[in-house]
Amino acid sequence: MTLGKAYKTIAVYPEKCDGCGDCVQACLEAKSYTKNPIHSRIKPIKEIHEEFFAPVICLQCGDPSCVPNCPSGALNKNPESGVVEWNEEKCVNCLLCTLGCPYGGVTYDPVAEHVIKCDHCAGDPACIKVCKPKALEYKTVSELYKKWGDLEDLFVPGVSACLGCNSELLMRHTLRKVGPDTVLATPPGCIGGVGSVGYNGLTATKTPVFFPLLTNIASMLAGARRYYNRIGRDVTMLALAGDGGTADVGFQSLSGAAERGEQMIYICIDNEGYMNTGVQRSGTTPYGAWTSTTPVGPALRGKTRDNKNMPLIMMMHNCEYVATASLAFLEDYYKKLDKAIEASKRGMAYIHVFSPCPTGWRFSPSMLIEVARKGVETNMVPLWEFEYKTWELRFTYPVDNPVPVEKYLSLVGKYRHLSPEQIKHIQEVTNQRIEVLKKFVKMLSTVLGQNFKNIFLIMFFLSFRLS
Amino acid sequence: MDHKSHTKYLIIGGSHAGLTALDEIRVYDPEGSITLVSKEYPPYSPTVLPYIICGKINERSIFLRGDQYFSEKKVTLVKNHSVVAVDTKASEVTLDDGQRIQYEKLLIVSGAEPTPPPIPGLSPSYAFTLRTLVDVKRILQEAGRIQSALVLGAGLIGMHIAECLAQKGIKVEVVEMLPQILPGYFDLECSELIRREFASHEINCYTNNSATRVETSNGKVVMNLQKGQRLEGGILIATTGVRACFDFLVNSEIRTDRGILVDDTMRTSVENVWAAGDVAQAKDFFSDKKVLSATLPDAVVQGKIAGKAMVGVESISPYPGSIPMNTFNFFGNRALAMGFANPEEKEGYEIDTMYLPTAKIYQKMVFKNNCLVGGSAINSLLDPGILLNLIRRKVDMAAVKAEFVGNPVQMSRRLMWKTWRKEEQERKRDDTG
Repeated sequence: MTLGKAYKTIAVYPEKCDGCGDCVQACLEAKSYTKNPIHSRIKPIKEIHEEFFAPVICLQCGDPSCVPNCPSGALNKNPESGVVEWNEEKCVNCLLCTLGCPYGGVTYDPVAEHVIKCDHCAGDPACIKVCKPKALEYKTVSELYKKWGDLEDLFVPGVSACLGCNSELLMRHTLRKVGPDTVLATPPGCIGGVGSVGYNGLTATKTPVFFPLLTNIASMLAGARRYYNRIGRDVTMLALAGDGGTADVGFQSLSGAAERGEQMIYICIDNEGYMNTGVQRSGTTPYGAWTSTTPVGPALRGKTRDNKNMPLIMMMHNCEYVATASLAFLEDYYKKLDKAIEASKRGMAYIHVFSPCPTGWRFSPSMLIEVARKGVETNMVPLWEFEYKTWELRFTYPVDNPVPVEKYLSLVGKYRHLSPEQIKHIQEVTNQRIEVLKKFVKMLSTVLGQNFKNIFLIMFFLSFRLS
Repeated sequence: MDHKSHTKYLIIGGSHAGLTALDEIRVYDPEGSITLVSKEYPPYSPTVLPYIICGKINERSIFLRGDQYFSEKKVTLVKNHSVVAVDTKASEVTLDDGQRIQYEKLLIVSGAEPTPPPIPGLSPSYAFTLRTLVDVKRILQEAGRIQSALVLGAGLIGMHIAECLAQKGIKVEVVEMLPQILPGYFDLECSELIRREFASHEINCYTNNSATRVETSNGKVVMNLQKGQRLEGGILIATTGVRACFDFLVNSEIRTDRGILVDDTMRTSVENVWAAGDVAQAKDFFSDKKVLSATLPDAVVQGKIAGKAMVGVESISPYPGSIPMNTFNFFGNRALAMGFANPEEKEGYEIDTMYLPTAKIYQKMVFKNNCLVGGSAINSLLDPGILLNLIRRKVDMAAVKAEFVGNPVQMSRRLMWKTWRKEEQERKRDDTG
């Protein structure tokens, strides 16, 4: 098995599939020279009761479960092409591979009397060419990354961010995706501080950018958007603000703008404190964390209060879209930006990005992504999204078997002093918050989803649980 | 020879569980030293052996891995040796030639071996078993000489050999102690249909019967049955059951029962020792008991978990529990059994059965609390892997049960899409498209 090689794959988009069956005909022509669909390697599900079609086909899994299930070595993943190949000579027809595959990718053909599976037609799949609605595409994963790489980086190189800065990574990716037709607000904080905004041609941003006060980020963007609406131009309003400008100092204007449904994308870069002014505590600094204003000494052991749950607070504002993100999960973030761009045409889209800071949190710059990942894997930073349109809240990266919070805390210097009791407290709060979220997910998908759509009921239910 | 070597990972046994674990270890630890001790080399699967007898596959092409694989994976092979003792305090094993290997982490995947039944007169010189390539060669040698054969035990292997020998023109008779053939996997109705097919090919199955005495006369094996019959055959093949091979653990601290007891991550009672496959006694899916599971797919699942656990991967999905499952092909027909297909008490179970005698199609689905818990089928076109996942994930089928039993292929694929496939696709949308 060659790991890490970018194989081509048949990508399936069920939402585009109209169930026409052309792929089946093409597969039959290529593989069996008969008209009997039983020989087709691609098998669309046809749903009678609702408009749902999906082609069922071998995924050529990276870690296939059919291959080790074969007692005679007749199935193998080709390290060059990535195709899971079936060798007729070696197959004994025991069908154990069909027990291994959870996707219906390898099936028994009762006429041919052996199993059949997709082999990508030796690198030129017949089904791709005939799929008019483009529900099937033949491409590699790397092409997708390349697509992002090909988008223009709207920040100049050489900004003055610290080594291993999560914010720099975030602002480059965000503007790539949101695009040049944007007015950017970067208030006091790291993003402004690294030179994204300046004067006399020294601005590092290639889009219109301004430097609001900490207190009026959202209201200035609201005004700018209303002006563009009046003159009939569709321009995206984007805020890249820190947690101070979002959860503390700037909260009143953000809360007001969210309540009025102002059209913008507001991204909170939560590095859990005032990192560019000397690492002071903020409302999102977690319990137990060291900062220069929550010192560690004989009496104090870091912050004594839990952080506020800012993304949930924003969900309570009836925002069009609310999500959390971590840059260790970039695909997830890109998907959320897509939804945020669309939602910002109707109202506020708020994304809360977990943003570890090597300088202020005391860890090596090389560990940035690992810290960002462990935050999610411990469930301290659950990844979820809420859409007002469908009234749906869902986990986008559910962590069913979270690792203990120590695994995350031990990576970060600001937690070095924690006592077992403090770690226990953090674990408990983490568990409690996940439970609250799970209850939301369940509740929104059942009762309120269909009937009430009334946020106040939820607020009533949870008002005593939110910490 | 008193030679002592050291290895990070030591694997005892080289079939499916061991090889899957090895692959998994190398995914997470590309460099750590691995030593594999195997009685036989190159590795092969016992499952494939009957197919050699009926000529479906050549005995030279059954090997699962070769020298190139092991050198690429940087594995030190100890071929044609077996382990005689494990010292868990010193983390050390002793081989049959006195050689000692010290390990940091040990995986026991030593499998199982046939247990000939305690019948008076039964002697290994004419009673064959089928577990190794040597057994196959012995049977093939005899097959050219004999006109008839007796098979003791109507399990999957026994019935399979009966068919293989019958295809060579040998008259075969099968004796089973329990009231049905293929007990443990197939339900009574299904096994009755299979039995009829065997009978139409002149293979008689004596069920609810057992051998009281075996003897030889005039170069033939004579078996006297409990109910008075007297059967004769050129050879006797005993496939009455297997037992887990862990004799070498007698003086170790590893807890055993009928197999080596393991937890959800395949770890034994000793911290740095794991076990998987036929030798492991692990959680049952349907009960709190720990059971032996002798199926190949389970060995793969267990091997994978053990490999991850041995490296110390943090986020391991725990072993979901063993679900009995198997496929069985006979005279051009295909049978499938999975899960709880034969509930003893009918209380609380919903059973849907469909039988088309002319087309020889049979299908049975068993539900409990609106979840699929088992099923069996003959010649019914199903996606077994999808059904198995419906059982394992306890997918609620209250709304779709009627449609499901009417069209299990379409409905199970739809459920697959709407549950795990959609979930996975959304999670890594950008990988698959």
